[in-house]
Amino acid sequence: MINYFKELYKYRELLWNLTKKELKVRYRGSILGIFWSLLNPVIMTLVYTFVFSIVLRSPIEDFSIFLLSGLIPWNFLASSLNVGIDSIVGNSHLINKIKFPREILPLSITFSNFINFLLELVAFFIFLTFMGYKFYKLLYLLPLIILIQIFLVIGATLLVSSINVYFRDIKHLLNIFMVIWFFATPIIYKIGIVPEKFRYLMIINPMTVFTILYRNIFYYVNYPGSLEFPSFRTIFLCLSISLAVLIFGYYLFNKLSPRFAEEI
Amino acid sequence: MNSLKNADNSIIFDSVSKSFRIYHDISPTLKETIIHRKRSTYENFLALENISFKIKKGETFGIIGPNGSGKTTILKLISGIIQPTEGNITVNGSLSALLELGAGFHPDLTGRENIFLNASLLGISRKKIEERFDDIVGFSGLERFIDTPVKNYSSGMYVRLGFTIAINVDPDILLIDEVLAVGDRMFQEKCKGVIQNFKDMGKTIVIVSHDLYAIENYCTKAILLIDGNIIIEDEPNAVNREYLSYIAQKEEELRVRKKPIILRRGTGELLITDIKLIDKDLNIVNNFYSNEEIKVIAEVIFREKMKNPIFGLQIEDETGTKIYKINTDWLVKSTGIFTKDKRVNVTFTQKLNLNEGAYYLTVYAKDRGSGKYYDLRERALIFNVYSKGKLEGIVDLGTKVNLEEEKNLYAVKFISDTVPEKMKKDKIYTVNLKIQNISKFPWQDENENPIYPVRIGYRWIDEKGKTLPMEGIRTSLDRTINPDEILETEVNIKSPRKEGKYLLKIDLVKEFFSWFSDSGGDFLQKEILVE
Repeated sequence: MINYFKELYKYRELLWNLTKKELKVRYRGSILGIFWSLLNPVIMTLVYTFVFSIVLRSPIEDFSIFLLSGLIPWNFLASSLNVGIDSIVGNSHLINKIKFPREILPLSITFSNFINFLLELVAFFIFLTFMGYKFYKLLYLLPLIILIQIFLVIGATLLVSSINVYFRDIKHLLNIFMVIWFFATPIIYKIGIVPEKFRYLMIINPMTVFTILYRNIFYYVNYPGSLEFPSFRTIFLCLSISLAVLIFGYYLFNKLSPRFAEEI
Repeated sequence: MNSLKNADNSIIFDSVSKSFRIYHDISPTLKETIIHRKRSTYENFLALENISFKIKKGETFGIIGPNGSGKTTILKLISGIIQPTEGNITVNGSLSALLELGAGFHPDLTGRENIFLNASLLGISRKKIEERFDDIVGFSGLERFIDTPVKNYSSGMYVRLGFTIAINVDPDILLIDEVLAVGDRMFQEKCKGVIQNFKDMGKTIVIVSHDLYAIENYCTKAILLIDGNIIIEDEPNAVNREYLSYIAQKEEELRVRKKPIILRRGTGELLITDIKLIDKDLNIVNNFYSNEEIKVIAEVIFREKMKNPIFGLQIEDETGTKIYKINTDWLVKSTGIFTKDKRVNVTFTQKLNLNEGAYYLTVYAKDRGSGKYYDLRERALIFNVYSKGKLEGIVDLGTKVNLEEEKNLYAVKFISDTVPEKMKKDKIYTVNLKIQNISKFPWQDENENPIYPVRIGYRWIDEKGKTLPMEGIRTSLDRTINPDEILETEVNIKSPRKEGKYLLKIDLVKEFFSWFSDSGGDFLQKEILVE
């Protein structure tokens, strides 16, 4: 076990280099560079805000902020999974020729998306300041929530990337699953409008808990009366599930990875 | 328990087997697996069968065998890319595998970025690479392209950069696949030099090849691998022999079908009853190394009394081209008088100065006067010739080559310089250098870079003998220096950042690879006090 982490530590530079590569390759050759990454949530927000605020006349105030506080963390998860699923299969030339800890590949995808996530948050903070939101009041909670979400994202990315080696059609499955997951998470609606009997079901989804928490920090902080934190039990459940996904993801990945070179 | 005994072994294979799954169709979909419980049908292909061997520290170990015999599988097992199905593998020491050069390059990243990325894939720290960065770039000869994305590199540049990084891993064990067969000759020579260096440093090297020459020249020990089994483990020479006879046997099996109709005609007053080829150890063989001395023995029985018959032989290559014909008439004139029922062995001894390939042997006996054949056995035998070296054409003329260093051939010399004896630290000095071409030939780079024929480089060596990381510019002269011409040029030299006594070495270099080997042109060496 100690040897394993030693080995992983030895390859920390590889992790960093691959993360950098991921970011560089993504933004090189485009004039707008890093702004492309910010463009996606901006456009999504514009579209959803138009549909919900203007067409459907949703009573939610500052719908764009309401939405972004859930959409940005969601994008971190979604893009990690969508790109990460190919991180092993797409690097067969490396897997076949060079020995290095295989988990570095999906981890680098998660990390580059995490850096992207942080950039989006910074842009979001600027936007919040501009809108006069006192988002800094509860900001001290943010690192903890992000940390738990990272557990979930890493675990899920490891899971899909290793299964994809054996079952290539999991990719299609993932696409469908992500759409369902997106709508099952209260990103474009308030959890309050969900019928009581479904709410328990939704709590099992850790993204629901994350969205509620993020939304408290960024959005409801401006409407002090409506702040409502999930119960300690709910947060604990979310943490447990995230950790379970992480542990199971690692377990499965390590079980499957010795045969990656042959199966790719 | 065995650790004491195993301390001087680098690699131990203990009854290792490896089987691969060969799938019959594309892998099943998840639906098929779950709903129909369909598992993909596959066969287990046994790539290695219960293999055991030990490679000692400092040994250069060759693995030879035909394609698909499991050579690369062994390398992948050693490097840990794949795991054995059965058995144990012990590896003592760090290793670097040259399975494919530049395997980890990303086309969109520049050469510089790829050096760091590739190095970290191989487990080299950034610090180590930063220390060696200038060396690596200089060695690869890609200074001008280092900030260009590698997708714009030629394949030669690509391989060169990959190789340079891989050898800088500085491993205890070096694994080399047949990758070294690629690249131009100059690059191959460079590779050989590097392998020799590793050998000299007492490092363990494992070479996989089907090039007999490479195995014999580098290895101290070798194994022959056929269909996943070790056929022989011995000195490279013996292993090569075994491999040759294996190939010959395979080729023979193939040739049986297309064996030519043996043409035999003649009056029959004399019969050639048997024809054999024997080597110098008197073994009957059909396979030889070129330049080997062989004897062709024809057993003859006389059915009539006769005087001075002519015996001869002819060698044709596979296309039927006559390569050589000789007979007793041309050699010794008379062969003597023979009585009826006499048995004679006619022996022709010659050197097989032939290139690799299969050859037909024809043996005949004929009457001296009328020229009619007593017995003509056309294409009676096929034999194979193997070459230890490489050549093209039909014959091996046994060329010997000798390279002598001719001082005046390409020599350019420093005649004078204005390098000061004292310098201030961290400053750029412009010095004048006079260079004369004292040879009979123009000084220019004929192969790579007609734009920059001559380079002037400098190095700072501190009191401990360590070369400082290179800073500043290396100058290239964009012209040829003609014989006897004296050229004056200015060079900017950046002094070291710290004070002390230093050795300044200014080199004249003609081409990329001589940069670090001191085999380029002249050099100037001065002790300089930096204040």
